[in-house]
Amino acid sequence: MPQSDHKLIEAFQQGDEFAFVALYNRYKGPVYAFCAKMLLDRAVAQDVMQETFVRVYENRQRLMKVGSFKSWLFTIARNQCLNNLRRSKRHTKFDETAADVQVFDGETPFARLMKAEQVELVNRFLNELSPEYREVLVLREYQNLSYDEIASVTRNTVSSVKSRLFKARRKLGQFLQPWVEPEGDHPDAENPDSEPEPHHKPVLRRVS
Amino acid sequence: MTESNDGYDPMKKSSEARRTKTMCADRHFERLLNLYVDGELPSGEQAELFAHLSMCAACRAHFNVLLAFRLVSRQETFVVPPATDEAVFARIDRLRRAPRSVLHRVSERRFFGGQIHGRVSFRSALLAAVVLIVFGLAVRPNPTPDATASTYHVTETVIDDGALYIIGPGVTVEGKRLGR
Ligand SMILES: [Zn+2]
Repeated sequence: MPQSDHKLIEAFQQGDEFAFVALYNRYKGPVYAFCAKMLLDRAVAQDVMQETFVRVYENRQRLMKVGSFKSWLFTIARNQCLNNLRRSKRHTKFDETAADVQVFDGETPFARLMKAEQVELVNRFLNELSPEYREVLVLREYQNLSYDEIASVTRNTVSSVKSRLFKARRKLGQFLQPWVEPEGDHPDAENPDSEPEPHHKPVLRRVS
Repeated sequence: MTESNDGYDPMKKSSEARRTKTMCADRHFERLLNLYVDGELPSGEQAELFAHLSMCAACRAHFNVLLAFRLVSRQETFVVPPATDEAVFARIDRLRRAPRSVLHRVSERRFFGGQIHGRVSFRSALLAAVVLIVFGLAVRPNPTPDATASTYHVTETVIDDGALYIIGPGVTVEGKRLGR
């Protein structure tokens, strides 16, 4: 049975380096995923993840004072990500011509995308979101953190977390709806009684 | 409304979707939908949401978007490259060696007297793991590199009170603590 975070932290603070490696192996994937979706650049995310665990190691004496290791860890990762975004003012450029979606009957445009194209589309959306909206959405959807945990990581109230999360999802709805509604069936249609637009053809470059 | 209230089927599409605007004007149901998607909507309030979904194409469309996004987010894979693992432990290794306070230096000398980075074969590390788990003892595996085990990256870190095998990606095997 895997040891609890608490036991591992205790062992780590008493000088057991294996406990640190166990914590690293437990959380490296989630932290990397968080950084990758915040920064939208996997190479930079690897560096930031690295920095995060080095900080954990350096600050090990503070570990027992934090309520939840997971929240503390994501707080460090989040601060690293925000610093990185501030420094680089990164706004990822996506290939404008990469993925033209072929139109077939029956499925939604979204379902016709390859997995990698769906990921790219989602990345385009995240890229449009400001970091304060992006972080709550990523922590909720990719890390499956609760409202309480997100509030702890982002140093915010639960009600503010919910407000930002729901707004981020509203933006997501506006962005993704043409892709998720079936051909010509999206609720944006100008004239509700007309036939569905036969050549509605979302392509990835529609959002640059 | 011509649709029945016999429950909501997220896959069911109707021409009604075309008669609505992108977002439901009623923020109350948007909130309920968000809470539901997050598993935070009390069961007592779910009937109210489902009744609304059965009548509101905009909320159904929004629900579909949230589900599509959830699916993509849960399916994307994130594998930390072994090189990143190595970089993390190399930096920590440097940290241990870096002179800090006298107190730190003393304690670090005690805990991390020697550092050896080498390669051992996956088979011998696995064997060692089994032996250690079953018998809780004794022998460090032979650290000879094995060219046939190239798909696994095994890093042995020896500190003066034990050996540690990091088998990329994500497997760590503790060796026996050595006597001093
Ligand atoms: Zn509605």
